[in-house]
Amino acid sequence: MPLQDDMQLISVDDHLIEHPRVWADRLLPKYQEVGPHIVEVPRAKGGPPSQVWEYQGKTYPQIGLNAVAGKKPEEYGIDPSRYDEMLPGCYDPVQRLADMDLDGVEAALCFPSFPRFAGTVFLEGEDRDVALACVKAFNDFILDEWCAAAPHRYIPLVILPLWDVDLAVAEVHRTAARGAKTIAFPENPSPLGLPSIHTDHWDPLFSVAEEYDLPLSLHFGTSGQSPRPSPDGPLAVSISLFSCNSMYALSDLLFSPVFHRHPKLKVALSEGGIGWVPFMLERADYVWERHRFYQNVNQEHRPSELYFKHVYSCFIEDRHGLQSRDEVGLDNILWECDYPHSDSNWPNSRKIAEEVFMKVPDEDVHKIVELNARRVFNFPRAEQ
Amino acid sequence: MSQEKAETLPPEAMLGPSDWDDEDLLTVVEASERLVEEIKASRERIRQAEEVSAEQSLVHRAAEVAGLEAERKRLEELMRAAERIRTAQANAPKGP
Repeated sequence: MPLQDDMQLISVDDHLIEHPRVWADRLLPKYQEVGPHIVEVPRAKGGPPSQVWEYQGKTYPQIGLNAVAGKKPEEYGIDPSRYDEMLPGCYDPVQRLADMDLDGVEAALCFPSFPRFAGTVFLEGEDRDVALACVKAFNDFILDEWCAAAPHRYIPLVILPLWDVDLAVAEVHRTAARGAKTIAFPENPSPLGLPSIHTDHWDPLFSVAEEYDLPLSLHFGTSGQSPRPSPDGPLAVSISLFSCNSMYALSDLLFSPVFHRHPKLKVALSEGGIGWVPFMLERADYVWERHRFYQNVNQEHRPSELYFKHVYSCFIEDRHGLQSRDEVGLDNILWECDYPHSDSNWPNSRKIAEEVFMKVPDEDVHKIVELNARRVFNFPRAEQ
Repeated sequence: MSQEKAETLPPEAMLGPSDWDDEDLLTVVEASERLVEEIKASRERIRQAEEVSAEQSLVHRAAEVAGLEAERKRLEELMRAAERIRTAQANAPKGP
């Protein structure tokens, strides 16, 4: 059996739902009223009121409590709901550990929900002082409450005040000193109204990430854009195309100055799958071979070379990608289970992983499910 | 067969502006259904293993017993999880 008992599953893409007091417990009294807090609103179809976040005077209908709670799969849609309609492991780190135990998962990297996966909700609202306090409060929550519940089982991911690169650098210094292991960064800042990665705007941030060896975690969708070929197409089109966001992000990175200016920077593409990676690299190298001469792209390093040195991709079930694992890069593949989203195989993630890895050599499996993640995120096993 | 036509939600009503689109949370209903199915499957595996074990020689039985014990432990864990989720859900944050 390739997935041996001593191999620990590390999921590099899970999610948490912030409980109602994450900000209330941490913001100064003067910010309490405008900081994120839960309000109840009538539900369109009746029943108990929905619980939604309110922030700087704006109500956010998609609050991370949303989507399919309480519905059968054929009734899925986007609809706010309530904490008592969610699995407790969504918002309680101790309950989550029990869910992980049942699922056979040892450790998890959890992305935020209300702040969005890269904290971009705090780009909204007029009061930047409040926004900065909210970013810091979330990071204090993730470090002092969520991950502190089991430091050897949660990989701390922090968010940044993306509107000000100097403040972002300061927040990296602050949180790295307290144990942060990775930084959430948009898959593409440009659509958010921020400078693109082709400028030198982000250099101070990328430099401090190198300094602390903190990988950037780029979750798909964090550019604020969803693939939507036809405005009247079903949601299934977007869901099946989400990986394209990671393809866009990767090509953008490989033809940007980022990895040339920051030779130690690491980037983890979250939830994008791996099957497309060999094609993307082949295509990028082909383009580089033929078209680099007249463009402002690096003339010395092939895109695939940069990928294998800097980029990591993950998957839940991607048999095609796993069959091409040598081309994806055995040292560049990470595993994820996406709990508590419905894509996850909970409570059978380990069992499904055993099936997925059945024909993969033990050594390769161990790298993919555990060793690569421990190396990339500087997250060693707890000493016995 | 139901004659009711399924309500069609316009995409703009379903899609958010961002990564929130991806937040299709595993529901309590779906999670509970998964647990019920898994408990049922585990019980069936135990029943089959017990039958096989009874028919085998002592030499073969040792391995079967180890597998059976692992499956029984898994069944206990699944049942405890179902109860834990039920209890914790009752204590969910009440909101504002």
